[in-house]
Amino acid sequence: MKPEPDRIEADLLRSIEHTGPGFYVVLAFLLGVIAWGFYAYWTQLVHGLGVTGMQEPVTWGMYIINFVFFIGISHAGTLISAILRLSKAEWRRPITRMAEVITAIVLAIGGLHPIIDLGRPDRLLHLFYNGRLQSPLLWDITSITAYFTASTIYLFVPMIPDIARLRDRGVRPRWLYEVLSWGWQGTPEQRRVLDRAITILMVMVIPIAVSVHTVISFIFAMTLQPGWHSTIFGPYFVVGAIYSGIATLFIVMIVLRKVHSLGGYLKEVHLRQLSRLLLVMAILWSYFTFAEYLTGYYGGEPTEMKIILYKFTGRFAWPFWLMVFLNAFLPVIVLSFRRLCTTTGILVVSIGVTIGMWLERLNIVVPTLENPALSFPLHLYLPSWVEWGIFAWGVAVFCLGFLLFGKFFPLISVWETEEGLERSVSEVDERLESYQPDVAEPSVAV
Amino acid sequence: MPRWGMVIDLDRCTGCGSCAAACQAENNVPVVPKEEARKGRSMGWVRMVHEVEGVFPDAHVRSYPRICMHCDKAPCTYVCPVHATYREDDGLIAQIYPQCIGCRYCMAACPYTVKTFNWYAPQWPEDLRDACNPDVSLRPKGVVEKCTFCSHRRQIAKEQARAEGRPMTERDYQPACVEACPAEAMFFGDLDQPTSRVAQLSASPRAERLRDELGTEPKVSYLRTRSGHEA
Amino acid sequence: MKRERIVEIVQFVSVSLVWVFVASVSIWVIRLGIVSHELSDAFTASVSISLVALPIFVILAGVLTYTFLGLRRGRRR
Repeated sequence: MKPEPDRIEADLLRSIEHTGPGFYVVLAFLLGVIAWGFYAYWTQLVHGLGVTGMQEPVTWGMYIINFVFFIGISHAGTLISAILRLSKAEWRRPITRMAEVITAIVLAIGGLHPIIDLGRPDRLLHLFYNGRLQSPLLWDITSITAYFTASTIYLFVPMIPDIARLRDRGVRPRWLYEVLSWGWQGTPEQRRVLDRAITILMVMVIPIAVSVHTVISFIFAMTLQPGWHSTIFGPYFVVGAIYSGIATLFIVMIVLRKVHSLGGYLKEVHLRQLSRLLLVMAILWSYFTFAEYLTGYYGGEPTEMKIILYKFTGRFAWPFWLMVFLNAFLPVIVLSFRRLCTTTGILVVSIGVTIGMWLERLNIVVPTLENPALSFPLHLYLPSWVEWGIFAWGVAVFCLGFLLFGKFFPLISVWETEEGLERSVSEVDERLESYQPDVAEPSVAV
Repeated sequence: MPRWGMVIDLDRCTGCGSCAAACQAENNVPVVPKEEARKGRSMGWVRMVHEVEGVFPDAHVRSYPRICMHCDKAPCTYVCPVHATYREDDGLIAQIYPQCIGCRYCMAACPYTVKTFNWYAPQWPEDLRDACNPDVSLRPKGVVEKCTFCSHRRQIAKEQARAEGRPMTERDYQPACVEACPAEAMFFGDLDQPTSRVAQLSASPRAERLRDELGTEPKVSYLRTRSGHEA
Repeated sequence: MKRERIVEIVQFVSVSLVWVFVASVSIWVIRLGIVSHELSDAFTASVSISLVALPIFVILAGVLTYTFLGLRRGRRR
């Protein structure tokens, strides 16, 4: 049954206009975790990086793993929003807003992690006064800044009509919506401007996003270390990022759908469509992983083999095979069969993939460092409470970002949902008409 | 312009570790507390490596000091984001403590694992502090450090030569480890000077460099033992 | 009417802040290029990265400004 326009507004804006006690409980909990994270970082600032579990030879640990992890999730926004908009997939409408929000929050969290990892964060300005653009870390700074700028703008511009809606409804704080709505009135000319801007942005955002995770992979690939110096890293990381991005998007969508009773807008069919993409990414990821390890194993080069065997049968056997199970077997099995591919099934798979992709980053960073090519006294890496505290801080900031965003702006795009109801069916009908074969002129026999 | 390099004769090296001790004393390398050392945070610019090969009764121990190779194509210099480590004109790979932001990328990129990090602020108890070398700075927490071929001695030699109005020769400058070796197993000098001992030794058929195939062009060479055991 | 003026001023300021941001990024990237030239340290790498990165920021700020001005122009009088 198609809802009335007013009903749509009421449903999608309810989370903004009504605040239950649950909001404050969650807020308090998240602020507590965040405060704990700040305390952990303060400890590190005062005493030095010695409070972490890192040592020689494992000089990079949880912070770099989480850096790649959080930035990887940011590919949720691009893929869904930009590519689906570009390909005019109609089922994207309730999904795009949440995806874009994920990207903005997660880029901020991820972008802070290299700074958290620094031994001398007070010398951060050295990067600006005399950094070296030759270093992959600087490529990172450039591309993440570009992506953050692009995705924030790409989040904001399509929000303008919804902000105007909130302004017109007189939702408090009025000044916020008045300022941010940029005088939107829904005139045809304004719609044209908005359309054009969104089109340019969605095209630009895709190569920027691809560059971000490629460049992050180059941090590892540009060294000569076994297990890192691999040409497959660029595409591998991009595929992995999109994969973990969709999984996180699922978790966010399924949770928020339940909490805010949005099941009428984020229907099972939307989830199932996106789950097909998740399945494709699962297969792609498995393919890249297989190619990476097969080439290493077949070549049998000693320094490479040491690390591969360390992951197959050595100390890293359980994180490695758990990762393979969570990223390859579980998703392919659950998502391929309609009986298993229910909302719960998708949620379980998505949580599994999120954990599995974190394990993938663990399996890339630590085994290579724990196995230096030249003999070195072996010390194993175990993250300390400081590193776990900061990880928890990152996750809490992510949740807080969503909590606050959902308090001020609609989590599902109101105007795009309405546009879908009004125009999509006829637009898609027209498109399908144009694909049908034309009746050809009878050809003249020669 | 000289190109400073080192040759270590493994036939003479006894694995005594005097080079490591001399380096520690000369360069104010911090001594870390016992718990930290157990966690793998001991700091040594020269690491004495003892590798056991084979099984008794055919086992033998291979000992050699491993220091910064001062590669001509050093991977650590490529990845540093802030110019804290770079190749100087005379071949030394510099490590500038006030510039380092402690990202440890150079440590992750070094194929020889020769860089070390100040995980905590170094503690200098009274007696150790009195024994510090005034020519070498004390490092703060959060920066990377490594063997510098005793660049302060190079500085002193340069200024000495300038004061005496003559060019600096390779005899004026020797790192502490080379000076301290009781077996005279270490040689240091200008690799580009055909008459220098180092240049001749590093071209000898016994000479080999660690992980040569990577193309890092390390300037520290090892002379294989004459009995045939590989370096 | 006064409230409307304040809102307009805040909007103008926020849009110009984007250009301040783009200018800072440009100055930073150009400065790094100059430093790499002074130190003879892969100058070509710095130049190529600048050539790719700077236009992206300028275009993004341009799109935002275009949207802002376009929406203003398209208002019903």
